[in-house]
Amino acid sequence: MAKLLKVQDLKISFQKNEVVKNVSFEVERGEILGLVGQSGAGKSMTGRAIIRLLPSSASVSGRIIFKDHDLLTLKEKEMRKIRGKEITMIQQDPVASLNPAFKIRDQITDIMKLHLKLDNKEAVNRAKNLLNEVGIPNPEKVILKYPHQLSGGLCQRVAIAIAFACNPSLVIADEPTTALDVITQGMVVNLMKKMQKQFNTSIIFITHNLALAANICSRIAVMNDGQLLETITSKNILTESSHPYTRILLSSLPTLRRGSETT
Amino acid sequence: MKILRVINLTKKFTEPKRTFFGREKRFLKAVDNVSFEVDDKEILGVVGESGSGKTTLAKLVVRLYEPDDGRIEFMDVDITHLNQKQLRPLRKHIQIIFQNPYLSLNPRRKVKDVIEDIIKLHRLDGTVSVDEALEAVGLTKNYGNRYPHQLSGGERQRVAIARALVLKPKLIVADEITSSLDVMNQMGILRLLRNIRESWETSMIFVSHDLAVVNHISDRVLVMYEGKVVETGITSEIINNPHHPYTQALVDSVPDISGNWSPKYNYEEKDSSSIKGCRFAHRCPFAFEKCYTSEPLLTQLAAERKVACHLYEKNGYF
Repeated sequence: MAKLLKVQDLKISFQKNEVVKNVSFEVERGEILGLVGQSGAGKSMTGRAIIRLLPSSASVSGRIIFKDHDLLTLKEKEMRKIRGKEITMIQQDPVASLNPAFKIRDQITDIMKLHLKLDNKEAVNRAKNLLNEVGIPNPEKVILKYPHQLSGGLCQRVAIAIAFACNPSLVIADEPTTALDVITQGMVVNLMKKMQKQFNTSIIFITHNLALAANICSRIAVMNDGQLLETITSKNILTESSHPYTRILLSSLPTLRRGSETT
Repeated sequence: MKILRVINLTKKFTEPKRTFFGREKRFLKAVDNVSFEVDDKEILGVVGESGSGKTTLAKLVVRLYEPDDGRIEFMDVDITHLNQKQLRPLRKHIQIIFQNPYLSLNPRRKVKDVIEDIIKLHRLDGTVSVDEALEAVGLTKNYGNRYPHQLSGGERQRVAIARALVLKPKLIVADEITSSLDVMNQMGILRLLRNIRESWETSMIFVSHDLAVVNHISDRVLVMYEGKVVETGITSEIINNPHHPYTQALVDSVPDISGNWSPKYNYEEKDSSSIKGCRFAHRCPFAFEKCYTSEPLLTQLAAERKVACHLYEKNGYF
């Protein structure tokens, strides 16, 4: 498989505080890669660096090669053609990531009008189809609503629809299920797997839950304290993981079995 | 001894709705006819998805909401309709910890002031000091001089726990206190709560949407769906043998590291206020005619096991 994204020696620092230290990894086409670690490990910062959405106070070095472009050297104008079309992002809090002042229709169609140059009618039709894809009942009705009128699960589905609206090559999903309850989490995970197959998109799935990552991703990169510790194949996570930190992460997973926890 | 007894508790919220004939009031029963008991030194888990009434129940128990119907007895005192003044001496025995530690601590006050305020308010001199409370939650005493913004999410939640602990309460209501934390902090907090139960002899009501988290802490579980209790029993029995289809769905939703986890659950939002039968019927894979016409009652199956589902009647479980 061809490499879609190569991250080489990525360093991110805020003043003297280095939050991501020499991180290198690759994402193949149609692959779901998990980025796992606890809060403050630098997972989200890595994700945001790829889509160039870091705060301006951050200094970034290294190379992020996406389809022959080095994203870090692109001008903002060129980056805007990639962001939202080729690379998209799903945020943690679905209610906050949608604009409360606009109807769902406008939020989905805006991006399609901009990147795909669709006219209003085509865009609305495509939006309805997309909402149908993400399993929203009655897209005709939902499309006219505002985000606050929808539940968290529905908002996250809308955010997923927006992320997949322009057939992206790479979706960065930053803890997309953390703000949702477990049942909705299951549905959103199924949905993301389905969309990934359908569009053959690569996904970087950022989470702190190793069990969740093991069930979605083909490979998992474990991060702690700004460093990438190891990359493991999900299937062999129990046997292959050698780093003590991965072991700690594994043992702190809440499970349905009693006495499986190590102190 | 029963620390808390809740009998047929109901809380309605009004939703104003505009209709053709003008405005109309609609009632939403957030907590509907819920009864349960909490034993001395017991941890009761309350599980359900968003909107199932868990948080409303938690707030009713500590009397942050006024119940519409039913009774709450705390240490054999009826506290259902006590006014604020009458409640005040009881407040130190019953404490709540909220979901979001970023909102529940005053950003302008130091950690030790936040805790000291509570001691002064309840005029407790010298029973538990600030340092002791901080130590009990695994923080050193120099945390007392910090402000909440200097702490991580897990540390803030520990401060919130220390604030509840300093009063030596008989009952702590923990409302989704780990949902904003990562897995490692979460496990730390769960371990801490278990230790607190042993050494401080408190009972707890632990509210969560995640059955796996509840499994690590609670003795008994109350499963709620749309304001109703659908199943209750000993935690291990509920998890190993869930009876209600909704409980089964909750068990299914926990990702398992070793196996091939595939949550199978269809979703359709429906207005269930007009439904006559079981509120779960339109999402239930096993629903049959009776489910749409009559509401199942919570029925005792075993000493500690109750379930509200027509299936078990049909299949001859009774």
